[in-house]
Amino acid sequence: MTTPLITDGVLIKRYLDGNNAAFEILLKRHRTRILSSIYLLVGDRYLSEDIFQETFIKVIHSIQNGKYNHEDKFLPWALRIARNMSIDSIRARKRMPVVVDTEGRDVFDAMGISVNSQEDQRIAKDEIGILKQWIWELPEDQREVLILRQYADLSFKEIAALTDTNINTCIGRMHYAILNLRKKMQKSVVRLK
Amino acid sequence: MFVVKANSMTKPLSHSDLLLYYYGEADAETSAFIQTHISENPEWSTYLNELCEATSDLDLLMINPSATTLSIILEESDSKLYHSI
Repeated sequence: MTTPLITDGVLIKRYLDGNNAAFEILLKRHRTRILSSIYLLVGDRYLSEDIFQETFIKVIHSIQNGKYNHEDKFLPWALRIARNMSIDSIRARKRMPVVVDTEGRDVFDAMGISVNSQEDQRIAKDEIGILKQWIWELPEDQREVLILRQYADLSFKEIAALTDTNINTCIGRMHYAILNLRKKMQKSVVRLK
Repeated sequence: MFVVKANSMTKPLSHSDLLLYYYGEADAETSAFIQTHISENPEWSTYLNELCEATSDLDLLMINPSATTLSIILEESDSKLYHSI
């Protein structure tokens, strides 16, 4: 990533001095990376938008309460919040009771209603949906490193810190994630782009 | 792991080195070494090309938040800002 003219640390300082436009620049600078990462972690467009919003509300409160002390490491810090919220959300979804009919089928599945959003159902049919599916089929540890390196633009060192692993483990996971994705791309009859 | 085929020096180079190089995280010495010897090591170019092909497709999944979400966040940042002053 190229270094911006005004660093994140300076923007946060200006925001704390009363300049909300500085916060807007910060939000716009990182929105795509943070939302795309959340989306690929939780797998649902609308849920990811909610988590993105909650992440930034928490970011605002933390900055305002003087809890931000990471200088220009805003992105790794915000992504740590986003990742924790995404993991909480995935765990909560797993705890949700499944309502079954008399034959033991999920009632919503039987009715043709998915817990995924309508937009997810639409994109599942196109090439972007296929690509998303391939990423979701990767082993969890490979998927996470791929998302954090490719979409969030964190360095391998930052990913190692965020996921409590070492840098060589992260690089190895990324290598196998790319290898597995390439295999899927080569096998697929669907051409992307 | 690859082994460089340069005449004057031998340095083992792994996929990890090439991945770090691809993402601009390799140290200056390794980067210079790769750039100098890449023409003699076609397997490095093949690996870097494969990385490039796979990751360029991945960019298709980049998404942006809706205008409503951005507006809610900016309202919050503005209100909190002026409450605290």
